[in-house]
Amino acid sequence: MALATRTSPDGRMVTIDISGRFDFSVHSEFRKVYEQVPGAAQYVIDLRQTEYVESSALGMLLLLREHAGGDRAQVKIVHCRPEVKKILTIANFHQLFQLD
Amino acid sequence: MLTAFLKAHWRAALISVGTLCLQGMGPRPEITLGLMVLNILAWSIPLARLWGQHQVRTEENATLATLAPVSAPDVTQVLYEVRSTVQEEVQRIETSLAQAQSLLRDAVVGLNQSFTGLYTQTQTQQQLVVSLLGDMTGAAQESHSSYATMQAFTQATSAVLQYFIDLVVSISRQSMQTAYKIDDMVQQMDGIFGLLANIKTITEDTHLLALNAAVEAARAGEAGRGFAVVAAEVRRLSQHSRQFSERLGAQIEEIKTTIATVRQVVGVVASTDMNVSLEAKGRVDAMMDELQQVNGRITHSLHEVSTVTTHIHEEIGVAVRALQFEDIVTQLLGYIRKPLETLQHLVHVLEAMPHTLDSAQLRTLEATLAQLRPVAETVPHNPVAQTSMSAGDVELF
Repeated sequence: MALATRTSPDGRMVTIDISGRFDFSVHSEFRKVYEQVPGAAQYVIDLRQTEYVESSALGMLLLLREHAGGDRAQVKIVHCRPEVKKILTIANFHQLFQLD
Repeated sequence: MLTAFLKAHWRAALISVGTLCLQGMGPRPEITLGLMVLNILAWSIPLARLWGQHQVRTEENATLATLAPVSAPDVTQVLYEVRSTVQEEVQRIETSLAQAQSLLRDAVVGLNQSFTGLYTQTQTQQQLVVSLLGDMTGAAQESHSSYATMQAFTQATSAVLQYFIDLVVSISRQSMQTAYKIDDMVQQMDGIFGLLANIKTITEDTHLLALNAAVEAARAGEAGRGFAVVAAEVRRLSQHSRQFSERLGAQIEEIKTTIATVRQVVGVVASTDMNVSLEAKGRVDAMMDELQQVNGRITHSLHEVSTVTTHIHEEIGVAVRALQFEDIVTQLLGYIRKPLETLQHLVHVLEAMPHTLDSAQLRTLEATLAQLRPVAETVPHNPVAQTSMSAGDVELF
């Protein structure tokens, strides 16, 4: 399973763990995760086990941000590997997401 | 007598021999010049002494002449040797002096030309550096319609790359949005399939109902004849309806296939790896940073070169001023000529004298010497007061 979801007890925070490649093949599942928890206000994308971020993942993350309220969205991308963080930084994602 | 003289003044002789040897070593004018001056100085002391001794001896001879009859072949011989030695040395000094002056002149002319050339070259260098600095810092941008400074280039490249990155991200977002919409469409198509299944059930029910109605009409006989026609019509309609829903199903199936193809294409677009481009931007950024630093270092070095060139200019000015030493040295050499002329004159007097002297002749000699002495004494001791060549302290005379 490339994708796992954890929801906080109050259902406000959704954490998505992605292992291996974050690419087009996970897009349906990724979307389903956040659409199935309508009450969530905060999203955490844990990339601890992500080896590679494809450019389609950038689009998925942007659409999640829009779903979560655009500029008011609270989306955190955490535990990035250096090479992953480099890609995200070049794409200026540090200005749109909380990048750790 | 000559050997005795040379033995007495072996230092000067040694210097002469040494300088002659050194002169033979190479044609360097400044060395030759130095050696000439050294030679002159070396011989001036013994010659001065010789002159003094000669004076004393002449006076002694005069005294002797008044006391005793003059028939002294020894004295005459000595005088003869002194005369020839002095003449030889005077000539040698004269030759050296002339050579020294000529060499000095040539050397100074050469040095002047060299320094002038150096000055022009450094001036050109300074202009080049200033122009380069202008190019580097973009200070000359008013004169160039399209200035290409490193900074402007970096900024332009960065902007283009950023535009490209934004485009990549935007395409990715739109592709994913399209992919999601296609997913939605597939889902909606599945909904239509569900509805079609319902229609199929209704059609089958209608068909059965029509069949039932036909059976009932037949049982009713003549009274049900009209009803049997209606039942047959309903059956026919249900068959049409079934054919219709079957064709609709097939059509939707085709649409689903098409959508699957579109979804695949969008997937390929979204998956097209743009990371190479993103990483390229990172690399170009790093290179730009490095270029900027190199640019800064070059500008700094150019400023230093400019400063060094200014210093060289100043130093050349000092050197050109110092070259005026030629005038002073020429005057000093001229000053050395005067006593030499006196010496030469004395030699001529001595030459004109017979080998044996009577008292009258001795008196004539005495008178001539007395005439010569004031000439020697009126010669200014040193027309050049200058003792050092410190820059900016040169008086022209």
